[in-house]
Amino acid sequence: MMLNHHIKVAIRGIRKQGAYALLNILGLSVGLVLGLFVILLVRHELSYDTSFSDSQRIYRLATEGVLGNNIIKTATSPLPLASVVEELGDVEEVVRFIPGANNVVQYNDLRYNEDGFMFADADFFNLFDVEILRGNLDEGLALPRQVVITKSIASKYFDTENPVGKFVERDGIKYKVIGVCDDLPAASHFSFGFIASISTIDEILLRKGDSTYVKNWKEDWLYLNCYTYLKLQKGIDNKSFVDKVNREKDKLIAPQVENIMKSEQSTDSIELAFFAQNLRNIHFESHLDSELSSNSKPIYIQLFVFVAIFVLLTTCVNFMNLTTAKLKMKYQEVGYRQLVGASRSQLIMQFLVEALIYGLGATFISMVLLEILLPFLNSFFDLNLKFNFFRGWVDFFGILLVLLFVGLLAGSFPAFFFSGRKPEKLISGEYKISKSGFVVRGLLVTSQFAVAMFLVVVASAMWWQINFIRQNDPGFNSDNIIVIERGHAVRNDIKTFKKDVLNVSGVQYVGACKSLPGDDYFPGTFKLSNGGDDHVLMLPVNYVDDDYFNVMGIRLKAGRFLNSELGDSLGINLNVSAVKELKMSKPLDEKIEIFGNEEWALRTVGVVQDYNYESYFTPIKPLALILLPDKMRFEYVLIKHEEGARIDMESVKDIWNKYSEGAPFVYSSLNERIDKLYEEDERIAKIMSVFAMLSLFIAILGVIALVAFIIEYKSNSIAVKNVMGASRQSIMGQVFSMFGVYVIVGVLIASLPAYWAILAWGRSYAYFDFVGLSTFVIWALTLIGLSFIATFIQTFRGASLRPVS
Amino acid sequence: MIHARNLTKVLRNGAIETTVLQNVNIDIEQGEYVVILGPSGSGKTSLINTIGLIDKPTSGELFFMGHEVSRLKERQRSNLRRGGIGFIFQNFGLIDELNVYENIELPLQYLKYSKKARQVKVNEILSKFQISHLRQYYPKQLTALQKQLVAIGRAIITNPNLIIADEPTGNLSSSCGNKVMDTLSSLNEEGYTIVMATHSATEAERGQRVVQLFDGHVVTENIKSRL
Repeated sequence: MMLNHHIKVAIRGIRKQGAYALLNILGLSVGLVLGLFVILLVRHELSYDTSFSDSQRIYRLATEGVLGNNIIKTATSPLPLASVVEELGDVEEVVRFIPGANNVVQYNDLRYNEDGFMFADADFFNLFDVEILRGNLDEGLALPRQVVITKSIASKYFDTENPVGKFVERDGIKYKVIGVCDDLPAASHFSFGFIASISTIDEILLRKGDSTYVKNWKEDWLYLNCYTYLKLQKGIDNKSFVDKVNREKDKLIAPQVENIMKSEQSTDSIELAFFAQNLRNIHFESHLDSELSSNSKPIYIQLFVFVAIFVLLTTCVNFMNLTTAKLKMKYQEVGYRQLVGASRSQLIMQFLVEALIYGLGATFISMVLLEILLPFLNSFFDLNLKFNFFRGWVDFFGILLVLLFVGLLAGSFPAFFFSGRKPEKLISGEYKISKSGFVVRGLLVTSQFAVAMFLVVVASAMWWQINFIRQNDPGFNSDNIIVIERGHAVRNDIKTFKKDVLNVSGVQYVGACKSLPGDDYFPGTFKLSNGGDDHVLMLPVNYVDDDYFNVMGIRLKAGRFLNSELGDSLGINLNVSAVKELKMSKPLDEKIEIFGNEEWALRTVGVVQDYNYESYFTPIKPLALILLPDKMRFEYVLIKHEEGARIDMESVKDIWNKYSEGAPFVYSSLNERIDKLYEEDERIAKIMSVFAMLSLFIAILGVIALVAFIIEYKSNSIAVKNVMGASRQSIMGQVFSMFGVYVIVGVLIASLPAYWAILAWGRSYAYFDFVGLSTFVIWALTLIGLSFIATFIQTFRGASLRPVS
Repeated sequence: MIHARNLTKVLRNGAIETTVLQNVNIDIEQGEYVVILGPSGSGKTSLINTIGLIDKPTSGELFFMGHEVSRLKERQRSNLRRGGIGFIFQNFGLIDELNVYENIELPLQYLKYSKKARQVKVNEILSKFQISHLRQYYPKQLTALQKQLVAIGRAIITNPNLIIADEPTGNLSSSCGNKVMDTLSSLNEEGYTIVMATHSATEAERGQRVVQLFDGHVVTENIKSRL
């Protein structure tokens, strides 16, 4: 095998080549880092919701249908659905849960806002078999006011104490901790800190005096309030099962729908159907309303895999180019080896071993780099990836396989290229590269530049759009607004609270509202009587107070803003879209009824200009603004301050503490909240940018290899021209003209796919600003310029060549 | 041992044909020291490459150890060369990444000798040429003479039937050249068959027989030793 020999020669060769070899190894490691990073990323994405046993048999039932004029497609389902499913008998488990609102949880003196508080059926942990670390859950969450907490919640509230048997308080109800479970893996489509028994909800509703809810919330088929998951028995087909469920539910929904039709004298259609989503597909495929977390788009994963494979391939190609660029030396060496007795297989082996040694070095460097970079990559991309080489044999062999693949691929070309040459030509140094060999190398540079161009342009377009979102006028002014969460805590004294805060220097207005951009808006069902032609319509509703309009800087189209002093508790403001949707010719004269409650007719007192109350992903929909009723829970207090004024948040906090009975004071700026809506896209843009930079680096490396090759290839003619007194510029010009066309073609052919990709990406936005074509031109010129600089630096050395012998 | 009949070698480059060897007849017997003499461009290297089985003739016959080899494929010629022919080049042809010991050892490795056997043989050569003290040195650290001695050592380590030397003194000063010529003569005395190409008439004197080439033709054959 002569393995020792090959390894020795390879290592000595690397040492001899110095900087050139380092560049080569570095290029390969950059490709590998990217490859490994994408493997981690993809594995993380693919591991979503696989931690539960039999996850391939677990489904979520989601709802689609029509309610009046509204098309519904939501991840939630009605509560009574579970009993229908259970009666059909094809399932092992059915579990429902309802996420609770963001609320304070208290244990002794510790108080935190918790949004991971869920109410679930007793068998929750049978279906989602998270490991129970403490406590006994044989009975499950059978009784009201029981709660299971996660490990991290346990250490947050109880430190080292055993939480089992202790009580935590939320919204005036004490919950007994009956167990501690392990934290859900980060790769889950939902998360929780607390799982309380669903039977507690009755008690909560009773305390709030919502007696109609207490009566209805369990039976109402049109109230899509919970998430229903089930585990099918083995061998049951989910499609036919869902068909069965839908047939069953029709019998139950029909009477309710009939009742409503009768009482409302409405002719609108109400249709609901359920469909099953496999647990493991939710993260990738589900993009419904009311998702438990923002889900991924498979296109991104495909894009990353594509880019990573491409980068790996191109680094291999660069490696081949760099190793075969210094031809003459290698030629003669191979020739001598052949004459000394090397067989073809021995020569091939030598090159493969050399490539593998490079690969090994690059793998080592890339693993160290990844280990160092991962925390930064994680925080930069807002991910939680872990890299542990020795986690298991699979990883070990995986990396070994990648290494082997890269090594063999990178080494195969030099191996077969050199070993097949005839010795007499090799030692005489007369060997000429064929034109086709040169064209192949040129095309490789073309493909590298095409990918680099594609990525930089697409990344630029993403940043362009993100910038557009930040700069564009959404129809309201989000600057200088501080949002205090859970404003509800000061509900009883909201008037005095507002007055006190207004006294803080710099504060202009203080308002309150139920929803902000990014939140779900409460869908109100309204009925409009247009001269006998009734129709029912769902409108998103935001409950606001008088000052909301001033705080947000909303513009009026007609009429006036809601004003409690003018008795607008039965008034409504609509946006222009709503007026259009409702086909109101004289909106200020018309009344809108709240569906199912004929006494509540709302008077349209004003029409406001459309503003982006959701995000740029969705077009501006109709919106109804209603004054906050006294008892209604609202989420936010908004403080508008003067431009450039620094608000003393400590004094605001003092005022808050005076009225809020100790609720936590959590605030952020409205702009920060809005930025969060585009976090995912910004993250993708960041990843794309990093990829773009790396591929640019690799493309430049490719040019360096090609130029090295050209100089080597043309060294004689360059040397002769030198002697004849040719200027450096003309020699650089000659070298650049030999490959420049490949760079230019690469840049050009990438432009069209980049254009398509940008448009495809932009489709997820309702408001999209296409990056100017000048960006294409600027990047094209930059890439061509960079490749010229790479030529310049190398030719500078090459141009001083003198003819030998 | 080597019998060439009407060897012709034509090089084609596009439409241009150059005849580098024309009807060359030559016989080399076991143990002979044959010098091929001629000015540059006379076809020495082509002839020596053909005899050394590196290159194929365009026409004619070539017998090597009783086999007709002029039509053999590269792989078959390579098999005959391996261990059978040792090569010495003008520019030494040492592998830069290997030290003296390893350079000499290389042919044995390709022929899959055991480590023990390799050690014994390489040490023999090192002491024979009195370069044992250089065993760890790399080609870069050697003088031209030392390099050529290492190259000669590498050529004979497999006890080849034939040693082909192409201008072995071309890159050496005259005194170093003499030393190399002495070494070749002593190898011939040990029984090695040597075919050497040179353009120097003085060096040609060292051979037993001189074949003079001019423009691809054999001009004279000086059969000094046979007389």
